[in-house]
Amino acid sequence: MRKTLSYVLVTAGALVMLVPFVAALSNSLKSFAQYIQVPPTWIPDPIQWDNYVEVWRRTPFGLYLVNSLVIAVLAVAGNVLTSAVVGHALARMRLPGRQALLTMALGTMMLPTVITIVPNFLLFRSLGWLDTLLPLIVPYWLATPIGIFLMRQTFLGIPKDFEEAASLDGANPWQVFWRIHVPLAKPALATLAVFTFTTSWKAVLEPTIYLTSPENYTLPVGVLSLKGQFVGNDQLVTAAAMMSLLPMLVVFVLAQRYFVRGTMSAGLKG
Amino acid sequence: MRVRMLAAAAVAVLTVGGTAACGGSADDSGAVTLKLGFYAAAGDPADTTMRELVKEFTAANPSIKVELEVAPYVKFFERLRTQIAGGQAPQVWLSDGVLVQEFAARGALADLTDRVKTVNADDYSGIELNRDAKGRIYGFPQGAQTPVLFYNKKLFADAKVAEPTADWTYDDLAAAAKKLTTDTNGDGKPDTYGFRAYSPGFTESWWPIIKAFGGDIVTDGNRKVVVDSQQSKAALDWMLGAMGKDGFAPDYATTEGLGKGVVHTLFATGRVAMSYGIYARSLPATTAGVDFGVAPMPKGPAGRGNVAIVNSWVVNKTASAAQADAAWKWITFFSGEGPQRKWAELGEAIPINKKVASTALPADRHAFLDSLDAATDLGVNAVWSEYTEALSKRINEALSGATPVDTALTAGQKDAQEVIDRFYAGQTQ
Repeated sequence: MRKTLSYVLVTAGALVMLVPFVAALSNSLKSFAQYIQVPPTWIPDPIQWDNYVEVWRRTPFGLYLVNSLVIAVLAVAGNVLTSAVVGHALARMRLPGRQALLTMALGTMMLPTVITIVPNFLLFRSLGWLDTLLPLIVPYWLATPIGIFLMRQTFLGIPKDFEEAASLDGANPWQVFWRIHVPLAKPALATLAVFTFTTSWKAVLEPTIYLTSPENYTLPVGVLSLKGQFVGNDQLVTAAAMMSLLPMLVVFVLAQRYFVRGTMSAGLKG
Repeated sequence: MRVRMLAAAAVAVLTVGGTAACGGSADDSGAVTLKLGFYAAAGDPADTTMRELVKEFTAANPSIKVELEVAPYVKFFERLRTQIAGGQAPQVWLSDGVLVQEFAARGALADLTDRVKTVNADDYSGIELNRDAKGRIYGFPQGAQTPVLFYNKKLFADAKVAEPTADWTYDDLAAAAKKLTTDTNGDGKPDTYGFRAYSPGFTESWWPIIKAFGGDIVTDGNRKVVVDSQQSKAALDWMLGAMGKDGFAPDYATTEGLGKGVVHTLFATGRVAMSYGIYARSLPATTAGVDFGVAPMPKGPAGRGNVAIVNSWVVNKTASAAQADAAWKWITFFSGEGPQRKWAELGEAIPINKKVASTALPADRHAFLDSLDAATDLGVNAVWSEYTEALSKRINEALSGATPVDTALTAGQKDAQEVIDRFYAGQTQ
């Protein structure tokens, strides 16, 4: 009885969570007149499959997808690698002022992006990187504060016995890091990877500022590029948004196990 | 293997990306590259038409190469402000008319006063609306917007109410709006309202109404806020009555709760029978299949309160002489008959070329032209966005019933004046 009640509650909760998704799907299949109709209808009549075709006709949507994937994959690789290295150093190596370094890194998290956007713009301009994908990738190869913090906490939680045993067997610090600590930190690395992927995937402000050529747009910028000033094209924007969701869903389904495990272990050990 | 993969990824990081956009002045051959920015949704008719016009322009001017920078309205200006700060803005761009003086006051725009003298000003609308307090002109009109009274012909016919005329007063508007307000399902709340009084887009709401009632918002070169007056109070009281005791307009909370984008579809979905709307509001109404007409805004004690926004081409102050010349060439090309006629077909803005406007707009849309002729500017100055936001906040408090009108107007005038004074204090220009 109790189990049945739990299932009913969970199912009801899941259905509620699905409502916005179903509404968006429905809206993506409406004409403009149906889209703005009050009260709104759940089932479009007629169903405008053309909205999806129109998105591809109006925009190089495939390129947006490729750009977003390239950026997200390289951002994940960069952030996971460099944050792990920096986090490990701050957790396990005797560095003078390491606490101050960590505080400084974490302090940068307090700065809103809008504060740093102009200095960054000037920097990337001087490097000749504007309207390229580099400003959206390279910063992730310099380790991110959240990544450093997460990995430091994870490495702090690993008992020193492993490290000492490996050292006795002749492992150097890099080998200890790469062969002992990194495998043990896999759940946290997976969490960081998923977090980095989603952050990069849904970023809007930076790509809007740095990218000016449509062939360099990312998916969110491409989706928003359909938004009209007077006739909103909301049905097209929604159709594009639905399509841009698909890769994210795939990543989440594939990485769900690591994500949950990573979050739990980080919470317990951190 | 893993190390090799990581190395490959690192190499990929360094090789991804194209070349940075480069501007450039005239080279030895006299060729000049012009970066041209404008706002439009990807693939929209405005986007397509502008690209066609640019092609025509470069075909006629082979020494000018045009690189386009296009983004939807909000994103365009979000990016532009950073580009200006970073010295990377286009050499010529389409500016919302209300932002021209903001950019000019921050030293981003070239003064076009002398260039404007070379054209016959009588041929174009809106040039004077772009003149600043010191008589300088920083933008040349591209298209104009001015509010008129939109009305739904079917709803008028169904309610057997005579359509609006140029002689209408605010009393006539109220009387008709009451008859047009209907509750068809009997739930005690109207399904159709006669008029939309409040809109977060104040160009189509309290601004022209205050002026029609004899009030004003800013004077003295748009640097002195004078909204706190008995006339303004009468205007806001009329709006409060429409949304309250008279009940022929959706109230503030209902309208505001719809969100800015949806508010503008109230007329297109037949939920209001009349609404003030700029020329561009024809687009959603037409797209939604509404049979509508337009009439002049009704007369108040001090006239109709016509206002206009003139979206304008502006030239970057950092453009080279060759680029500035090329930019002006583009501006004069766009203002010509052919391009203006093509742009008018979009139905997005009133053509600023008067000859084109008089023939491209159907006779039953000429209320827009009359309104444009009579219009004053929308209180534009270097801090327009900020001071109107401060003022709107207070006026909205009054229209929502949260604050007495008197108090809101006094506070709004004070807040808006502070914003203006803060910017202009110590300014020489």
